[in-house]
Amino acid sequence: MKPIFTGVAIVVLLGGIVGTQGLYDSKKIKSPEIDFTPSPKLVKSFDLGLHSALASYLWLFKTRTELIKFLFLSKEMQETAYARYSRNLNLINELDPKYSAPYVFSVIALPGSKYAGGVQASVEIGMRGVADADPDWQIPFYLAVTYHLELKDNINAAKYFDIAGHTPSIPEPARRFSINYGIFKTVREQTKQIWQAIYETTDDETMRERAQVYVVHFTILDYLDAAIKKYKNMHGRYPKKLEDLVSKKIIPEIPRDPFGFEFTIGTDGDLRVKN
Amino acid sequence: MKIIFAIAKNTFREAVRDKILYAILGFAALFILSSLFVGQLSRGDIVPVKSFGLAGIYIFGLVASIFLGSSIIYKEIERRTLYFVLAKPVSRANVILGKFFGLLAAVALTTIFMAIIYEGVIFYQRGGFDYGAILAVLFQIMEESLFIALLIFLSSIIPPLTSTICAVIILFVGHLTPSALAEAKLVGGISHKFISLLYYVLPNLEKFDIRNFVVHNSPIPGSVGIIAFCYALLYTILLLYCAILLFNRREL
Repeated sequence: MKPIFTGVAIVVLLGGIVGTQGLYDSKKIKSPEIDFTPSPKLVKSFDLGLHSALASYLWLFKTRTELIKFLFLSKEMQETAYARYSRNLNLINELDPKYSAPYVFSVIALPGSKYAGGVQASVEIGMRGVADADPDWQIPFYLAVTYHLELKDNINAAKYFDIAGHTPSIPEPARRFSINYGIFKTVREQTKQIWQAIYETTDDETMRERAQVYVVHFTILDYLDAAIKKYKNMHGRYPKKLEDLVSKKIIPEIPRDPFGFEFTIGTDGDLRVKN
Repeated sequence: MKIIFAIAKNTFREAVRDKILYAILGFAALFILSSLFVGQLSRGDIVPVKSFGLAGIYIFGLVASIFLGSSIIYKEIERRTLYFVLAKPVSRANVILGKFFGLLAAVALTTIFMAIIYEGVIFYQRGGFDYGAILAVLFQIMEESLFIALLIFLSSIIPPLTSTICAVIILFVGHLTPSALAEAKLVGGISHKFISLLYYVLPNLEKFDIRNFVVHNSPIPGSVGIIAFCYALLYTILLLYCAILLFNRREL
């Protein structure tokens, strides 16, 4: 057979294959979706021990897309779609409880969905993630955000912001925000009392030390606030910087924050963390 | 010993010249390199990259073992090359042991080659090596040693296709017996006793799987390595011993 003929034949055949595929795609044939999630035990028995790889595969190529699609469904459809998502997520969590990405994504996405149980589901998944997953600051951080914004629960928000703030590899702006949750006057007293109560009641030595540091942190803030107030009463305006309090002999020196933060004073006299 | 070494050397050469090994290595390299794509998909999360990479090393290591090992003795009988070897002052035990060490060396080399590609991917992703993976690969080589001994045992008594099917079934059973035993415990009675028997008699391969620890940088209990090593050593000796016994009885 002549080489030219062989070449042409191969090109024609390849063209036919590509064309047939294109034709098939144009028909947009959808195979019926089977709502079936095998039990984690069954999957674990037959995956040759490759639990982590299978969990990553299921998350990246199936369940994550499912969650994105879920967010755009109508409220009625979300009810049934969530049940399936929950089963698939559970399978991934059972296969590899330490894989943090599914928890992170769920905690971020679910509270914003139209699904009525989204907030509660997000909290449950987030708490599971904090307990089981590899340390990932995003899980407690967004869990705390949900507690604060959706559930108006400052106590749990403070707890999870604290966990986030002490998770290794948290970016500095997020750490600063997490540790200083409760700095605002409206919630500061409550947050301080929580840490005071933890300090007085906990048996865990590490937790006790941590609570003590927080109490000192908030005491310093109260002390500086009182000094700013005194400055205002004496001079009729707020100080521009903390050093003004020392120069006017209101305080002997600026106390050192145990977390290493430096503070600045806003035009309204409020204390803020220096960037 | 010299004879075993000579047969091992010959088996190793034959294995590394086998074109199928290069095809497997090519697919393995592609699979491991595709972890880079997974890394992008997971937006820099290293967990999927590591788990996919280590899974690739494991799967293709097993595939290489099966392709090279399932016909290793049978092929020699079919081609009648074994008659020439046995005509010399070479015992059948020497043949089995030489084949085992040669094949183990070839498969271990393939695994190490895949591990190097994996470390390259990890270095590219995060600018450092994954030292835990070296341990996971060592455990995998222990498992491969047991598996190759099993393949040689099967290959000395049954044809390649049957031997491959049996090895694959035993491989799956070897990974599912721990969960089967946990389930059987709940049921109790004769099922529990039967599963317990299978659990202790069939190769239990779960102890060689430390990939999930490595992926999450979790500490690996020190005793696991010693137990896994002893288990692999004892099981390999048992299988090779049985292979020699059966092979000695076989009429050629």
